[in-house]
Amino acid sequence: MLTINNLKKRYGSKEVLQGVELQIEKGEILGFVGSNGAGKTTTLNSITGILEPDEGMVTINGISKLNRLIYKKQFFYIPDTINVFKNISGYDWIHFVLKLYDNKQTGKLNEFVRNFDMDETIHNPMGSYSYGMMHKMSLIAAFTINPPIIIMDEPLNGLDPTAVLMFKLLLKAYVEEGGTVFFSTHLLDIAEKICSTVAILKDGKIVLHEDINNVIGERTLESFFIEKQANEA
Amino acid sequence: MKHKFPLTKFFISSFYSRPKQTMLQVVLIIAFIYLYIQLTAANVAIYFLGDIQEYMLYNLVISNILVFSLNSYLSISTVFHYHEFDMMASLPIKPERIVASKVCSSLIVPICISIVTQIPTLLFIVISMEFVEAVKLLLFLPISNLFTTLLLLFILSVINRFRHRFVSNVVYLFSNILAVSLVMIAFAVFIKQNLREGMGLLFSEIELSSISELKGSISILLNLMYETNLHLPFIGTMIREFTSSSFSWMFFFFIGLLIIISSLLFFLITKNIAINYFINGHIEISQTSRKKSRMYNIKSEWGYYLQRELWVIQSEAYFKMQIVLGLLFPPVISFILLITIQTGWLLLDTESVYFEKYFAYTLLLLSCMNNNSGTPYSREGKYFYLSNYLPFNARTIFFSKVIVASATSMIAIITSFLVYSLLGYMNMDSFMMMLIVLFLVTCYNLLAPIYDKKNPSTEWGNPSEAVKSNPNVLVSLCYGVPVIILIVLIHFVILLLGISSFWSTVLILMLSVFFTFALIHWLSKTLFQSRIAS
Repeated sequence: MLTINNLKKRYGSKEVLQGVELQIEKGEILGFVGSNGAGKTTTLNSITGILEPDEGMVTINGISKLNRLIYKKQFFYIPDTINVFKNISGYDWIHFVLKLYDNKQTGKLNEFVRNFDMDETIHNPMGSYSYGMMHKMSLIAAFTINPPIIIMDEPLNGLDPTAVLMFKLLLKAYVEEGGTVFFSTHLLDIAEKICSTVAILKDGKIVLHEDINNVIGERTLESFFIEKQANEA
Repeated sequence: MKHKFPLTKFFISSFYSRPKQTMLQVVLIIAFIYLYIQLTAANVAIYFLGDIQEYMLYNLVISNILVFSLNSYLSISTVFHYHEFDMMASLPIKPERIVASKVCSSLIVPICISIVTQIPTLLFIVISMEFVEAVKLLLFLPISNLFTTLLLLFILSVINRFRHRFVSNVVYLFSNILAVSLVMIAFAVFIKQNLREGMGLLFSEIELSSISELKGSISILLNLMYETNLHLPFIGTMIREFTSSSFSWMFFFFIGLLIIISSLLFFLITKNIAINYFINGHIEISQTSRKKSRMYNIKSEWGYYLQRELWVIQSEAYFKMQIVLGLLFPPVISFILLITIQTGWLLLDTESVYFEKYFAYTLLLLSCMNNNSGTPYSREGKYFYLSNYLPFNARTIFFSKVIVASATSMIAIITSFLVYSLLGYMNMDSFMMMLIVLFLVTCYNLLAPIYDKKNPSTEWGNPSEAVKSNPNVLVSLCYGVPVIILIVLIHFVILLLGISSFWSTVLILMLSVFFTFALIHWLSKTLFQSRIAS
């Protein structure tokens, strides 16, 4: 599904990614965790095409970045901070993005809008949205597009409890239908409940990629992560 | 969404958004109406003073100057800015399509503004029953505007293509300004070389002592402009075809040629920007988040507050560039002005008592026409709220902002007077004029931030929204400059009353010193009274 081979990236003298290797299978919900500065955002930027790595290769369903547009249609990315055209309504923006993905199945859009309680705000300019509303709008876009893989950076930031519950339900349905999720987060308790696998990034390298149940056992993911960080140090 | 070009529509609404505050909306509408009336009044005058050919040439020149100026001013924050990068980079869309939409959106608005200003022209021509000229104006003007805009964007796009090779954002922004300036200088030199004879004749024939002589001089000026323009290589033929009262194949050939060149330029601009879209976009986005500012261990309270101001300026390359522009603009313009006088291109009597006054007050206006003085609070952006909940002294913050703006203006003014003295013009009167300008510019810098303090526009995503596109600049100019002009007028009235140049300068210097200290005292007492009381 998503394969990352020997991904390297250097900023000046600092090697942020030192050969990241990762393979995510169809139907997997991967929790991508790591300390601040471990290289999570650089990895995400390299996967999504925002950043060109110095070395290495990323493929999704066997499609490399050389086929840029086909490659990008394999995923939808929800960044941590969502910059928007502030005078455009969320509804117009989602329609525009749907067209980019050649997605004509807009039937579920209104249902998702209702589920995330955005009926009254989706037609307002995005500049008036709160941080949480921006995330809701992006999640609506992601689930409506229904791409093979959804890549998310801290998607739960700013979401109210009802929206978090809705997110979990929709994520479950999405994965059951064959979708895959790449989920970068600091919220280990949430990752523990949602993710099927976990990958830990430390100093630009993947130090663990395992089934979540094999990893935590009797412990919590949080205690495992802290223990792992201490051992690696 | 029925719109056929959604991305272009998105960019237009994003680039040219209305200010949220009603007062600012009103100020902008008033400013637009004022400019429109001024342009129309000049248009009416030209219509009655010149013939139809001269009138059409005048409108062609004005509309092209307008679109060139608008694009020079706006393009760096529209076409060549990457505020959409975060959002668009991961989507399955070709950079060429994003860039093409950005270029289209930056073309449409200035050209529409230019066309709107030409509506009275068209009406006058139609009323005069000159229908061929009206059709020509409708066809040729937008296409020539399009060509002018695309030519400028093409030059800037070549620089943008190599954006990632620039060592800093400030150097990149300066290269853009330099390119725009070079285009203007090249055009001025081209015109000068071809109009040398005409200019000499023009200055010898101009008489301004009565209204009828002024009218006559404007007629001569228009006629000379038209006649000499006809002798310009290639452009002359194009102007002749544009202003003639009949259609010819040549006219349509020129239209076709301009469309073909414009299409080619559009294609090249798109390619130039799109080729390194991802590298340049990422550099621009990451540069704003990886700014580096030093912390100096200063014990004085003022030093601490001034350091804070320095951090705000250092937070964006764009702010640094505005400060450097504020430092360079007056000396460079002074130098150009004085050199053109010394080489005899501009005929001014340097022995007149008015000369040093004109120079000094021009310098004062140039120093006030910056985007820094009226936007110090808006520039803080997301950091603005820190000063609301942290125990900062609002009075010290205000005056440290005034100090930063005044220091910039003062350095620029002193440098300009240095140029003035190096070219052999300095005397005691000029020195006192320099002091007057220094005090008056401080007065302006004391007045300018008042509105921005009360209504800061801190919700910006692009630093140019905080400075250049911030309507607070216009508001501060609207109330700040008239106060300064009042003192300048008093100076000229005193001179006209027959008081000697030296004593009039001494009087105005004393008035400026008094006004500066009175203003500081008044601001300290009134502006921060409620805060001190609370």
